[in-house]
Parts: sequence; structure tokens; C-alpha cells
Amino acid sequence: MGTMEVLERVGVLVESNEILDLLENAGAKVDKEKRRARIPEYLVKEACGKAPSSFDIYTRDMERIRIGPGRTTISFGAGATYVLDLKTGDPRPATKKDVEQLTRLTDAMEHIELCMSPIIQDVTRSLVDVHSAEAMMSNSTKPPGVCPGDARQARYIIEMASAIVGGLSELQKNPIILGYASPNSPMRLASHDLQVTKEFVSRKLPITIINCPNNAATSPVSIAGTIVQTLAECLSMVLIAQLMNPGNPVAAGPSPPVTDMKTATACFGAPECALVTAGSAQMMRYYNIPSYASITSSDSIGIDAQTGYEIAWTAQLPMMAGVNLVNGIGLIGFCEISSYEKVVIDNEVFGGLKRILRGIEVSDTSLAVDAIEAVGPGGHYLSQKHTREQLPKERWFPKISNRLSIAEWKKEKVDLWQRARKEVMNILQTHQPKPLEKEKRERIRQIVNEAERAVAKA
Amino acid sequence: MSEKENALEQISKAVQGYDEETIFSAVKTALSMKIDPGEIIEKGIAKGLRIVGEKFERGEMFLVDLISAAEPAQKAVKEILEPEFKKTQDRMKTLGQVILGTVHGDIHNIGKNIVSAMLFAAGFQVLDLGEDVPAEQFAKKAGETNAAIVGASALLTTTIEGQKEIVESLKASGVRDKVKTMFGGAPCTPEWVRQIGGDAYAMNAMEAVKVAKQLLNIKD
Repeated sequence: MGTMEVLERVGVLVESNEILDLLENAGAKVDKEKRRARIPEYLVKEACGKAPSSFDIYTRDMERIRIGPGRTTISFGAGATYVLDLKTGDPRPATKKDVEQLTRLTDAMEHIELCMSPIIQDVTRSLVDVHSAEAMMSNSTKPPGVCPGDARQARYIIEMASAIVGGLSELQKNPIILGYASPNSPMRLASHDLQVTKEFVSRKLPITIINCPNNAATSPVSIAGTIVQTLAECLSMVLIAQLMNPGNPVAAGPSPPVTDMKTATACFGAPECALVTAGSAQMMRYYNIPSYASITSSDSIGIDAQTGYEIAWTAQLPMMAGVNLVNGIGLIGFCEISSYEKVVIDNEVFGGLKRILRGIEVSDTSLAVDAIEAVGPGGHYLSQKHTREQLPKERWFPKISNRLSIAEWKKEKVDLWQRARKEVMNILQTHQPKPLEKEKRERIRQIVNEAERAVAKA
Repeated sequence: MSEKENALEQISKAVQGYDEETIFSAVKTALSMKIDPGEIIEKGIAKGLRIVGEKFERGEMFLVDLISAAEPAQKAVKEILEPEFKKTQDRMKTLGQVILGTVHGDIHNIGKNIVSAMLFAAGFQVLDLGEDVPAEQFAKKAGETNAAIVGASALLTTTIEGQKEIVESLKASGVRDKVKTMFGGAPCTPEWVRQIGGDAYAMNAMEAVKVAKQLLNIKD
């Protein structure tokens, strides 16, 4: 296999002497001077054997969310710098208030199970992830996915989550956060990502390894080559996690843009992205590791037909390939913009996609010979018991898609974007997530304040 | 076509053929014929890059063609021609020198590398300080060279403060007024650049070339 050959022949650049030692002691061929670790196949296979094939995280109310085979766990899309302003429709810098509102919106979305955050622009830069965590933890019971930029922020966030569940040992039993860390393509593990990984794994907390291979720029232009590199990078981090704590829950996969050849922009809505995520998901299943992928991102700046078809093709293929954990919800404009409206649209799309993935049930009831006989030639099915009974199982019910008649539509001519915005406004005005208890809210505020003081002192 | 014209044409063609070895040998041949290094750049390398650049602008060539031509050409200028200029103390004719790097603590270099190649292809001289560059290093190089622009990218919220430090460092070294500054990278916004007292924001490599020209009042 290409992946194993790459890990053995090329290896990874590891920017941490501690991790280089860890890999060397385990059996990797380490060049200390060049900080390169060449990893034999058996080590990777052993690590994949130790990592659980599925794991659970929990809502604040201790509802279990399984990440693993047989289902796709859907998360809000992280990392946008801008938010599409609800009033003007223009991209503007993301604020902490946006994260609070987007989290409340996520809380109301039936298909979105995890919160994540854009990059807040109006707080202390070095504490962006801590502020994000506070905004998410306070505005939804759904667990936040967190991607701390450094070890210090990771520790604060873990402390906040521990405070909510009543201590670290409780958090280990029922994790209400999911960590994220990234290898750097090509084939490089930066010290801060390794430190963040260590903060989670040394505390036995689940972590997702995501790489961002920029097709034709930081990964091969061939889809297969990008998948090989994705797997090699992700599995090298999976190995490190398993060496630190054998059996630690870990998911892994790509957030793969293609480098546009006319504009040099990293595009996340291309059809090739879907091939990389789907192929990687299939391979992760082969390695028995829960698979991650970033999907539904569109490169359109507003909400239009391009948004629609890019959501469709980046989401459907990896979901059909059985990807276990996805994010990308709400993202447009090269993953640089979060859109409130698109959160609602993505939620709608996932409803439809889940229906497609449920497939065609074939049973005596669904083959409906009796119903066809009961109706007989020339009759209709609308008053049949079979129709009433099977309807909820067979049908998906859209919330914001147009199904009005031409005459009805002509009255207001409202498009999907406007309908989605109306839905957003409605939810923001009426939806009240279950509040975090006052003393817990105050405690995590305290932790944020401590972090601010520590930064101010430094 | 004279022998000299032919030699320069060979360089231009070599640049359009992306092959480092061919470019190097064509440049060396021209030097051995005592062709002026300035002319080698102007009528050989820059001409070849201009042709590739125009085809790129027209959509006939791709980013990969542009970078494949620019990188070995840039290397030939740096390794073979710059030493010649040093010998004669002549100035290289360019649109201006740009100092580039990723900020301290940040190793994400692909954006910076593309910007570097595209600025060079557009006619700028680029001093690429590489990745994870301390702010003081930008200021030091700005003081030592005739650089017109200092540019830096950051991909992380934890490293973007490095852009602010560059502006501060330029001020502290007394060279802030000597250079323009431009910044980019995922967490970077025009608002941020204004806030830190930078001169310009560039969203991507294409824009970086335009912004660099605007900063120096160069017309397209």
C-alpha cells in the first residue's frame, strides 16, 4: 500500500524531541538531526488495532453521541474568519456574539450534533479558542468540537469542561468536548499541534486528527496521491496518540481543498474534494478508525445555486462511503465565511441525505401488494391506511424547501436564502437552549478571566 | 537574430519550459558571452515570465505553470545573477524589493511561497526569509536592504500577533517610514491590518501582486 510505503520511506517531520523519542523507542527509524521519523508498517497497524473502532461523547445532559461505524455524526463547521451578516448579506469579521448565536442556532438543528466555532475577531487573539469554548458551552447542551491553537488554551478549555461535569475523572468517563489537532501537509507535525494532542490524550480525552491537504500545492494533484498522503499524515498522529495512551479514542480524516489553478485560492467545494473525503473514509474503515471529513463547504460567497450543488456533491459521496464524523456546516466562501442561513440549509440537506441513505426498504409491507390490490385500478392511495401508516417511515418532510404552487409562490417570490433567513430569525428569537447552571457559568467565566489575566501579565 | 539576441531568446524559452537545468545553462551561456546581467534578466528571464504571466492572465496557463516557471527562474537570478550585480555594484532593475516570510511561530508556508513566486513573476525582487521568522528579523532586513515592502502571513490565531510585532519592530528600528507593509493569511482581515497600523491586506496571491503594485503606485 502507498500509505505504508510513504510512512516508511518518506516518514514525517516531527517538531518535538519528546515525540521523536517516543517514536524511536517504539521502533521508528529516527533521524534526530533532521527530526524525521520513518515509521514501519507494523507500528501503524498495531496502533490501529489499539484505537477503538468507535467512541462516545456526550451532551451536557449526558445523551450519548456515538462516533463510529454505521452512522454519521454531524458537526457545525469551524474556522471561518467572517460571518455573512444577517442584515446586509455581506461578509464581516466574526464576533463572539456570532458564536453565541450560531451555537443557539445549532442547538435548535435536529441533524447537527456538535457545535464548533468561527474564529472570533473581537477578543484577545491568543485566547480566541477559550472564548469560543465559553460561548459554545453556555449556549447549547450539544458538545463543542474544540481546536485550541496551543497547549495553554487546550488546558483552559479542558478545565472549563471539567468544571461543567464535576471534575476531570467525570469528563474522562463522559467527555462533553471533542478535541481537534492537525498535521501540516506535506508530512509535517508541528510542535503546537503535537502539544495540543498531548493535552487531550494524556488526559484520556478523545481527539480528532484532521489534515488539510491542498491538492496540487501541499499534496499530490492525483486524488489517490492526496488520499495516500492524508492517510500517512493522519495515521502518524494516530500512532503518536496510541503510544501516549493506548486505546485513546481518536477519529481521523481530511478537510481537503483543491488549489484553484486560476486564482491560487484553496477551494473546498470542488468535486475532487468529495473524492478525497469519500476515499479517505473508506480507507479509515479499513484501518478501523472512525473517519472524519469536512463536507458541505461551498466556494460561493453568497447563497445561490453553486452553494446548493457544492453542498450536494461534497456531502453525498462521503456519506455514502460511510464517513463517521463531518463538519463544514454553515461554511461558504472557501471556508472563510460562516452563514447563519446556510446552517439551516445544511440541516435541511442532511434531512434529505439521511433519507436517501436509509435506502429502499424491501418487505411485504413496503412492496405494498395488498395496498395496490385494495386501491385497485383507477383508485387512489390518499385515504389508505397503508399510506397513513408508512408515511413517516418512507418520507422526509422538508422545512424550508419550496413546495408551494406557482400561484402561491408568485404572491411573495421568496427564495431559499430568504426563507432560511426567516427561519434563522425565528429560531434566534424563540429558541432557548437549556441554560448552563449559574454557578457553572460563573466558574467557566472565571477560568476565561484567569486566562485573560495570565495573558495580560505575559 | 544576432548571437546575443539568440542567447537571450534561449533563456526566455528555457523559462517557459520550466526546466531548471536548461535555464541555468542558458543563463551561464549568456554570461560567458559577456551579456550584461541586467539585460539577461530584462530580455531573457523577465521576458519569459511575462509571456507565461500573460498566458496565465488569459486563462491559457495555470497556476502550476506560473509557479513552475517562476521558481527555477528565481533561483537562477539569486544564485547566478545576483552575485554578478554584487561584483559590479550595479542595481538590479525590478519593480521593487519585497521582504516576505511567515510570522514567528507559524510554519504554514504554502501561501507565502505562492505569493513569493507570483511577485517575482510580476517583476518584483523577492527576499524570502522563509517561515517562523521573528519580527526583528523583518525589521533588520528592511534596514539592511532597499526593500520597498515587507509582507508577512500567519495562519493561526495564536501567531497572528506576529504581524503586529512586525509593525512595532519596524517602528522601533526606525524603518517603518521606509517600507510599506502588507499582510495576509486565514485569520487576517482588512480590519486587523488597520488595527495594527499595517498598510494593506491581501486576501490571496493574485491580490498580493495587485496590492504590492498599488502600494508602490505602479500602474499595470
